[in-house]
Amino acid sequence: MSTQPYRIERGGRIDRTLPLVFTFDGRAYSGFAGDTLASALLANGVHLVGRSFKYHRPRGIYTAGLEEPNAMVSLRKGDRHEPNLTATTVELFDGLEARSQNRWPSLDFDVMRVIDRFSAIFAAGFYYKTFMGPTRGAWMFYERFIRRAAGFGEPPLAPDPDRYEKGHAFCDVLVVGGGPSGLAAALAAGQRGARVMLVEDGAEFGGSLLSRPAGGETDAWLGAVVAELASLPNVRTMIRTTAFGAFDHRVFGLIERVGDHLTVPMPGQPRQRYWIVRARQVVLATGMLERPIVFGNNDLPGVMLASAGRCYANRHAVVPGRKVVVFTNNDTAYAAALDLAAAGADVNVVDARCAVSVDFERAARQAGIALHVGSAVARANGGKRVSSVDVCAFDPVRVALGAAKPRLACDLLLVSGGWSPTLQLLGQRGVRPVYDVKRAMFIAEKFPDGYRIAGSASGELALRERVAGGAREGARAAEVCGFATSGQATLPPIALPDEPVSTDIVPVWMVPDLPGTGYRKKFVDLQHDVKYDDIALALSEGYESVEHLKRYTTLGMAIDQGKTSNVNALGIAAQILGRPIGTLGTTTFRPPYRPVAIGALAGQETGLHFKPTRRSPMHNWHARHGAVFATTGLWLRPSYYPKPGETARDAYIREAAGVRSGVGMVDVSSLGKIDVQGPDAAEFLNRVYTNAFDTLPVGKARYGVMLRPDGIVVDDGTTSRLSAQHYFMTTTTLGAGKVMQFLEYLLQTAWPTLRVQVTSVTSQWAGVAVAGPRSRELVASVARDVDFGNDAFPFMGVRQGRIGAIPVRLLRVSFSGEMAYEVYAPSRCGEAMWQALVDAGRAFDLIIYGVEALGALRIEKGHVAGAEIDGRTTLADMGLARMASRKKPFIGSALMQREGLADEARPQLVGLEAATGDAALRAGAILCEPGRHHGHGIGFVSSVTFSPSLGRHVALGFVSGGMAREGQVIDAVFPMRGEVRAVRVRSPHFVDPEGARLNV
Amino acid sequence: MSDQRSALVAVYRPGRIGTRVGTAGVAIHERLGRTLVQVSGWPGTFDATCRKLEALCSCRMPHDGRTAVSEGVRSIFRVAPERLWLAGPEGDETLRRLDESTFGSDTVVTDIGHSRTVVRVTGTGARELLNRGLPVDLDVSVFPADAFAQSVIHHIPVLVHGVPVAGENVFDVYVTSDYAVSFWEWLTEAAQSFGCEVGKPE
Repeated sequence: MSTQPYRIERGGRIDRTLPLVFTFDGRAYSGFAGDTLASALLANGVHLVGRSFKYHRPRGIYTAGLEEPNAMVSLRKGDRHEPNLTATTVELFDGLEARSQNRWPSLDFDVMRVIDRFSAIFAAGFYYKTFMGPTRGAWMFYERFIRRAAGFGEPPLAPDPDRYEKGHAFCDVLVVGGGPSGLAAALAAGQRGARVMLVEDGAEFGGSLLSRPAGGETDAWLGAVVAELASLPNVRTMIRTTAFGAFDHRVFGLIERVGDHLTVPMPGQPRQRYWIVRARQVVLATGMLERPIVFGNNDLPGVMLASAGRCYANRHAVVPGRKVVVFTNNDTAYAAALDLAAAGADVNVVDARCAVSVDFERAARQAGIALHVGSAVARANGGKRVSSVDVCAFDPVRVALGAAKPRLACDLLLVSGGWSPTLQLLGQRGVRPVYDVKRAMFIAEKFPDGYRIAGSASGELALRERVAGGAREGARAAEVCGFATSGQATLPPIALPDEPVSTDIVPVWMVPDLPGTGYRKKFVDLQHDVKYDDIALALSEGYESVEHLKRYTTLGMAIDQGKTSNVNALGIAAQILGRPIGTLGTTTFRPPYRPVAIGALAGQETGLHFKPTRRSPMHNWHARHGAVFATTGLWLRPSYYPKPGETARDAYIREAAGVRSGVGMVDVSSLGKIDVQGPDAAEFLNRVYTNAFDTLPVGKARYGVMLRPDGIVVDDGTTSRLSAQHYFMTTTTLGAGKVMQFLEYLLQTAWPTLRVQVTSVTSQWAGVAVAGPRSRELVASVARDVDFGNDAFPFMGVRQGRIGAIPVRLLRVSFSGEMAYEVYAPSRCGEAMWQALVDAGRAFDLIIYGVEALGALRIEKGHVAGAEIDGRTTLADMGLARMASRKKPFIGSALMQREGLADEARPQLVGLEAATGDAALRAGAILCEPGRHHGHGIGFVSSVTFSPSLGRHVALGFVSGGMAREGQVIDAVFPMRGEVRAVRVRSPHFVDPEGARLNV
Repeated sequence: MSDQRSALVAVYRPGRIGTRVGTAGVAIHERLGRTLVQVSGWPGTFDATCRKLEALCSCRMPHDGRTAVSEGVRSIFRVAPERLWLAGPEGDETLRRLDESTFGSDTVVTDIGHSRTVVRVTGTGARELLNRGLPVDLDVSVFPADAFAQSVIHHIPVLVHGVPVAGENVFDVYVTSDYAVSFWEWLTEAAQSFGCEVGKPE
């Protein structure tokens, strides 16, 4: 195991008392708590950590944050394997297993590196040009090879074993970013009494302060503020939490990484939690990201941002190189140079500016740093790690190299091309940043309602100003929320360092090749291998819009979304086009700001919990008795109850046959049930049903059909009159919700003066249908207080009774075509009612049947259901035209007479069976004239079953001409399987067409 | 009424679930057999209905759809402009006897007691637990004692009531009975990270 040769002996914010062991590509290394995977690798001298997306070039660690374009690894293994994580954000834990990606057979020797030699072929637009037009078909052949050669990590295939959660949170002031300005904003708002949420992406608060030498005066300030925030009960602080999306009305998407820093999440804890936050005011203290400078071989391992070098030295106590060159065009990189020199590195600074301030010059000299002003790094040299840089005189205005200077040997090249405020969340809300020439950065000038910006995100670089700005914006946000005067607001009385304002910068986007020294690739987007040449090519081909440029080159896509490349690309494009950078515009930011696991977005809503499930009050009985369940909408309904050795088909045929010959019972609790009450209830039902309900006597039920306003059938069911002003409506299982909504809509908008109340009582009542020739005997044997005589309780009669102590409603209605009763009991008594019927049913050889048998029975009888009421059919289509009252208007009565709906050629309900022998038909088959199998045919098959009564397969369907075709043979065509069956048209009432069995 | 069975009977297991470190952050239990009656009417006459109810229940009726009136063992919710829910314990004779004859034809009374399962959520983590699924701000400054909200948790229709118990976080969730098992499964899953004590039904 390596002994961390690049670890600085003292300092840093790591916990040296907690050593950790981890592996990278199978080799064991050590680190400390407080390390990231990147810092631990650097401490062990590992710079080569990956291969590039397209050209398989060796890549190292480029940043120290989530903007990392290079150092992507796969973490963990087995079902917890996760690809494409940035080593710079992975917190080290004991036993961590990381692997490099996109290489074969090994990271050190990658065969696909050969692609780099053919890079001229694979330039921007390669796929558009190669696989369009006549060669389009070639893509189908080459795709698998291309996808195998290019890409990131392998996706996990096994189900994720970890839990994910979702949550809603609310606050007065949301502060995004836990750096100095965010902390100041949260404190100012919190001290005024506002409910504050402070979210920080990293593992601890402090932001850029954590990159300063540990133990300095800023640490005292940081400690005091964090402690003060912790003491405020109205402030909620969240670390390891990223605000990844900003949506309408100040709704934010946050990801809290609860267990990512652990081997496995703590018991009971999720791995990640997705928060939906609603805030009244927002302070964005999202900081800024350092930009690189583009030059030849700028992608070599050992090249990294200056801020990253400083972070690794001061926060993680790692010196990533011992011979360091710092290439900069601004003041901020000097802090890195000085800190690395203080850590013992030999440092050279190459500054593109003609002169630097006296203060920096003196500080550099005192630190033993060699300064090369008016110069640029024209090229980095090396194989799998930078070994030297070529330095030349440089004119940043003309972007021209001058005389070559002595080559500088180095093992670390730090680069700083300036800074870019992190404005992605604002961009998601439509804010277009504008270019600030003086500071050479894009800044936000306009903000959506309720948004504020503070700290370096506003373009401010000086620490004191950033803190003051944070406090100011936090206080204002609280004031807008009504916390203007209450509470005291004070920052800790700890002086922050008085630092010079660092705005001196000369824009340098790209350094050209030194004439006569050959060509080297200059990468703008390291993650997608987009080069300077690709941008130049795209512009030369006319893709001048930044949106076109992005799509043609794939610039700024993938995991990092161009965090280190977008602005440089704009600068280069402006340079080539000869236009000011500010006139080019910017591409559009969209969520997420950083990748979000699909598991977190799904939360608990996976598997059976993807949607909630509705269960009958008798569900547990069904489960105990072997029911096989089927979903009907959200309901779990018993499909059939197989006996040992029975198939589903055997079971439902047995069950249906048992109903026809004796008595059966089915759970119908899922039927929609609506209580309709009020003085105008009868008038209301008259208007919504096609037939009359004001004439329905108390104690009777009537079958009713509802139409949509456009004349199409929407639902059917029976409605019982319990008293003069009280009706009990049933609907289909699937139609319950929309019927209830429709009735409420009509009462609130069309007929607000009708005095009617409708209440869904679907969950209030458990329902059982007892059907078969012996149903009366069975129900009468258990129900009390009811006269079951045929005259006393006729077909469509409604009675109130008791089963034991349970009050029940009894409806003598039938869906099966047999004599039948629907029995309703309060739902908590449902299972007891069911059990009472089962117990009594033993004497009658009671069959318990499911929805499969129910379907078979109703098809035999020719009763329509959801397959026929499919949103396209009319009353006449289903042979129910006589149900349309001519004495009253009703919903749909006008438009049902439209020419198209009254056309007699419309397909109408018929029965179907095989023309010869017996054959199963398929629902959805197209009905055609014999031999004329084209177009939409003349109808379709809607429902199919095996009829136990007839001993053969039967079907319902709709055919043009309807029963006028009775006896004709037509074709049922099922193109999906290439099937054609000759079928005979017959009455849809296969069983008991006269209805005699209803009144046995 | 005999032979009643909770919708949760097959999934209800008293005991500790989730994180076992320290004190449970939340406690949950079912409130069995709650009486729930809906009284509704129409503009112009509903005030009179409310006055009768005030006399019968010896408390005022709520005026808005955000704050309930809890008096003794009953809680009353105005769930719609002319629609009240009156919730009471099992066997609340006053509520049980309400019917059309109490008010006349201007009022509709509907027993919906069997249509809802009532789950009580208590503890320091109660608000946050419910907010795992409920998109309603439950902070005490916004959702004080006796506040209620009609919303959805995991797509399931719920009425959440902040039960006024001094110094404690107590919420009753009225959930449609046929969704009760799904809700319970969601609740016990979400409660894991808090540490949860499932109490005996009361």
